[in-house]
Amino acid sequence: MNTEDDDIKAFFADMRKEDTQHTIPKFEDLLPKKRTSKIRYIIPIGIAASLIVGFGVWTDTTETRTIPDDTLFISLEEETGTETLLSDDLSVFSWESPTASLINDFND
Amino acid sequence: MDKSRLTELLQTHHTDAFLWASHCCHHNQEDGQEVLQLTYIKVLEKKAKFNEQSAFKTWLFSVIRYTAIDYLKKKKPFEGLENLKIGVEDAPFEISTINYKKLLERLPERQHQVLLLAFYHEMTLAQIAIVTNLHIGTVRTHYERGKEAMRTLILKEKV
Repeated sequence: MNTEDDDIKAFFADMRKEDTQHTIPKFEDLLPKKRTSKIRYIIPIGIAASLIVGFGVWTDTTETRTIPDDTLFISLEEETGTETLLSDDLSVFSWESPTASLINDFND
Repeated sequence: MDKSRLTELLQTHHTDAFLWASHCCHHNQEDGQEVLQLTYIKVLEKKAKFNEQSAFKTWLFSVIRYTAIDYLKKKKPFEGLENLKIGVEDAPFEISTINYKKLLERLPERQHQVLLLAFYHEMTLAQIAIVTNLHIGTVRTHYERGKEAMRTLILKEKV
């Protein structure tokens, strides 16, 4: 840069002077904001809330239920498949052949 | 380099960085502010790492330039038609005050940036080569041609 450039230097010097008259934002305003501040509170609150919900569900399942006095109980007992056969034992033993008399008559 | 040292260096060059960011955004200070904020995030979150191979200011200006290019690319589709420049503006300048921005905008983009860095930000050609990511020979060519074009424009302005 020599003396030939003086006109250009003067131009840019004037330009700089004009620019610095404009408001330049504060350095602090352009720094990134700390994003962790909210997370710092949200995480423990979330953990506490899930613990409360979990505890509520657990106590609900283990609670002993009281039965009112006027409750009617109907119990259905299922019979095994072979029980009817056993109860018919007598009829099987008392069975007589319808042709037994013929055999007897023939012998006489 | 630790965060506190980086913050300290950014603060030292804050004014120059803001002015350069505005220049990279066609002298728009609002866009310049956005670009500078994005640059600070990049630097402090170590997305752009300073490896101390050049001066901090040179490196910072380079980051600002790339951030401005990305920012303007993203912003372009949403720009209104009223902001669209069609053709070369030949309107005469006001006599009382020089419209520096309009005068500089008449120069080709590279010459415009090289002259700004050389005369406004007082950088050497080697530093300009780093900021603009150009070969030093190319920078020298833009510098010489830019000066000639600038002289012609200033003369026109004075007449």
